[in-house]
Amino acid sequence: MNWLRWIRTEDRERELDEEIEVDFALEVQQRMEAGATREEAESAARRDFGNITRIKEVTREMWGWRSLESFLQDVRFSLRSIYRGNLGFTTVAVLTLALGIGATTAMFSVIDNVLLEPFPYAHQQRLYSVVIHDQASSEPGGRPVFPAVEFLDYEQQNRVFDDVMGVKINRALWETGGAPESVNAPLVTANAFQFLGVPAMIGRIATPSDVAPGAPAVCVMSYSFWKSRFAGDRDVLGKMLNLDGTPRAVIGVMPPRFIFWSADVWIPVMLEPAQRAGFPPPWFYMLGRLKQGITTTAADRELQILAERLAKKYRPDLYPTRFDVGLQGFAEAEIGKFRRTLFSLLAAVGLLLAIACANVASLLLTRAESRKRELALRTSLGAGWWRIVRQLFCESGLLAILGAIAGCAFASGGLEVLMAILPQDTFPEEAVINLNLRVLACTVAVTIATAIFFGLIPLITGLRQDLNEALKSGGREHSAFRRSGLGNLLLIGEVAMSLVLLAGAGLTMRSFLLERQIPLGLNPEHLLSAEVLLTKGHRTIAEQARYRREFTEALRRLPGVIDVSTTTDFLPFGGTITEFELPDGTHTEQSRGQVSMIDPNLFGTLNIRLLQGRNLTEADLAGKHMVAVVNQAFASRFFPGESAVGERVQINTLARLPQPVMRPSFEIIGVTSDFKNRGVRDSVVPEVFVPYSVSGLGSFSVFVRTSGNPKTLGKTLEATALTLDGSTVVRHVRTVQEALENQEYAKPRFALQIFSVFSALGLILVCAGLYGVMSYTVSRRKREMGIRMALGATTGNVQGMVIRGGLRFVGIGIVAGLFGCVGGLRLIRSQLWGVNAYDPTTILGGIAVLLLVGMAASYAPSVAATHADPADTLRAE
Amino acid sequence: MTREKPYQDRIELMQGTLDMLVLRTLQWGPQHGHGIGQVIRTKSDDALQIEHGSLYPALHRLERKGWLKSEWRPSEANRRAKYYSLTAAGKKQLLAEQSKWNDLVETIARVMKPA
Repeated sequence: MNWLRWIRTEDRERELDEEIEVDFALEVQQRMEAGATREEAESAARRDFGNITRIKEVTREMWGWRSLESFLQDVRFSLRSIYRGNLGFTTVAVLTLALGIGATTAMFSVIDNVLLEPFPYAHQQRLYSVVIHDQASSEPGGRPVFPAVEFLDYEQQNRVFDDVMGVKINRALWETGGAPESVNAPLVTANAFQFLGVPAMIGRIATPSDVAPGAPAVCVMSYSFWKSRFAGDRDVLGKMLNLDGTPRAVIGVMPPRFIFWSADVWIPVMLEPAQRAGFPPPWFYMLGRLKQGITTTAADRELQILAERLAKKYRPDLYPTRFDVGLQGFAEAEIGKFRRTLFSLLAAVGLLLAIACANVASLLLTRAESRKRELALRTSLGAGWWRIVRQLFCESGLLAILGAIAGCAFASGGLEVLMAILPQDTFPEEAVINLNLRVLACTVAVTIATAIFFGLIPLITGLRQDLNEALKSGGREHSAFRRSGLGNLLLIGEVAMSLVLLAGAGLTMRSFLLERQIPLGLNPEHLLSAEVLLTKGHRTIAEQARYRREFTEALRRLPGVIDVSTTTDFLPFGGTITEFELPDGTHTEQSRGQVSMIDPNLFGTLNIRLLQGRNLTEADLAGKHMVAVVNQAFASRFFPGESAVGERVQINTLARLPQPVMRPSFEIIGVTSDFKNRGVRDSVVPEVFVPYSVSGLGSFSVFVRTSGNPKTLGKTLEATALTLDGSTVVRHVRTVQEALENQEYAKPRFALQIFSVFSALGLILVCAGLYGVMSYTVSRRKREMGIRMALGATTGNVQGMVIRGGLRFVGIGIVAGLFGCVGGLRLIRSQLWGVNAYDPTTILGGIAVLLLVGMAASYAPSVAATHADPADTLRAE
Repeated sequence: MTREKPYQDRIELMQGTLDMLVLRTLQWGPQHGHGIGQVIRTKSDDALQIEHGSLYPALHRLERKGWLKSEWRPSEANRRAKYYSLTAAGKKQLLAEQSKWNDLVETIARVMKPA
């Protein structure tokens, strides 16, 4: 069978040998017949044939250079060459690659899942909310919600969205027969599910026909609610849920990742222009899907025109005097500033990968130098150029594959670590972070690029050489040592990139430490906080006030409780943004700040000092005296150099509450010391504290100062609230310390941790690279060292020389790195607090660390250098 | 004694012509590698010397393309040798190459002829 011959390579090899042998014999015979002696004939024939190995090799190529057999041979050879005698080299190279690839993959996974595809919704990158921003405000953001009637105007008149949906926060009382339960039941426009493009997991989604007049009331259930309350029972479909007194049929259960608005159930509603003001107010958050091909800038312009028109209709309640309309990306709103952090971490991981590649390249290069003779020998023994190229590619490809496999293992481990330290509030709950296919493709691309990158290096240096030269130099390699410029460049580049990473890590660390030292102005220790939502039972101001009073009194009676206080806003992170009007008319500029509705205990509970005047009293609450306490920032902004006490301030925002304050003019009776009220990083904004009894928002925060660990009081607090009213919802029970850690310090800490790990890995790689190069240098210069010592150089001289050599690399790298810092550190400027991006101390620190590492890496090779025995060297000459 | 031409008088083979020469040589009957080389050499009056490094790859290439087939038979050297012979496809290929070659020679001659 002819084709069998092509497969059975050994037969084929033997045939080729025989064929050539016979022809050779025939040639010899012919020459002898012509009269030559056997010796003459044989040597003439040999001359004639030339290099027989080479002939065979070229012929074999003809069998198909892509043939499996020769490929397998390459792989076998590569495996042998990376294993045999080079295990150390291989391990270092593979680990280095794995580090780079693993870190990149893990970081990519986070970026991909958090920034690019966080939600399960269709066209999620085209989903935007509309925000009315007051130009007078220095804060970003604005009003993203619209009353039903205005919502409908936008829905019908806009020309920028394919479709628009609305959603409104809503809690409903679920009457189960036993104790009623308060569930999170946002109201959504009937098109919401179609808009988001997610089908129901079981049953069906709601459609506009479900809210048509006369249609039966329905609701859609979330996966987690279905699992926890109905044990995942499929018979839930068609069951009636009694929500706020309306029986609603369950028509579908959504898949696990669909947790829009963190709902337990979604209630589809029809927006009616005439919807009454009620409790809570019927504000709908608007979400639109931008038409394809419209830029956000163009859409902003269009919407601005529409809004100007609508403003005429709805002013002055809904629109400030001067405003801009802006689109806010839906994902953007959730991820916000963290995007920048993630991108700078991606840049950092890119640097790390570059260092890793440079390191492997440098390792391969060093080895290529020592393999010059091997390559020369193989060439002279008949290996074709292409064959050697293939062989080298095969070797680096194999390294890259091993690196990629190990890298994947590193990545999944790294991802777990990342997930553990990723700040929870910074990405949407829907985001599922895992190593996905796209990320895998990225890794493979990185791997291939890496393989090609350093596969080329031995080719450039290895094959450009003169064979004779390489063979001739034999064991005497003194002339061979002139490390190529490329090798030096790689090492210098590594050091430079490592300096940028170090400086980045140093800056994040300094910034973080400085941030931790910012005085809060209040004492966050032994302080428990929670948010309490009152449901339908407490509609009036008086009812809410009574609940608040009874609740605080009940808490105060508990053992271990020192003080209790309530406020409308969750301090120390925010209040209600408002404008102040100061009636004396001397302050004409826009006066912005915030307002909180508090009880008289707040300052005592939080350990805030009263600077001037008096505090609020129970009498102020009960008597509804229109009095207020202001913070120092307020006093010094609006009444510089004089006393604020006795002055008046008007807060019109309070007149627009669902339960409005009719004449919101307050007499200032006291001034408190400042405490952080706009987040830890930002400066304190002017704030006015008014008695909570002036209105009721239906929810409030509670602070409990305890003598012991506040954490242990959490359950009791919740139970107390429920004893007073079973329908109360208690959320976010946590210590103020925890809240600070999670909301304020978590992101910078995350950046810090990642940066530190990356820069540490970078340092290790640089150290390994430098060590490798220095050891190699020393081994090559052993003779020189020997001669120097024979001529009287001391151990110190030789060691110093080696270390100086190492530090020269580091020095040049540092200079290059300084240039890198100028460009690179700009990226993280926006994330720094209280420290300049080009902070000299930090950069000097980085330089010092690098120099130390440089010395450490050169030390062992320098010791090895002194072991050169002068006698040996001389004998060898 | 084999009379050898001085090196300068040898003719460099044009790319692709070796295949044609091999096919042509085998038109007279099966031949082994050494024989093919010899025939080309004598026919060209020693002007064409085929390098072994090109001959074997060419033979294997042609066999792979299906233009030659090979079999082992006893040779004049008292041992078996690998004899190549033309296949039907090889004969067709030879005709094609030959007419292409004639065209080429004619065309080049026309161009080179003094006007």
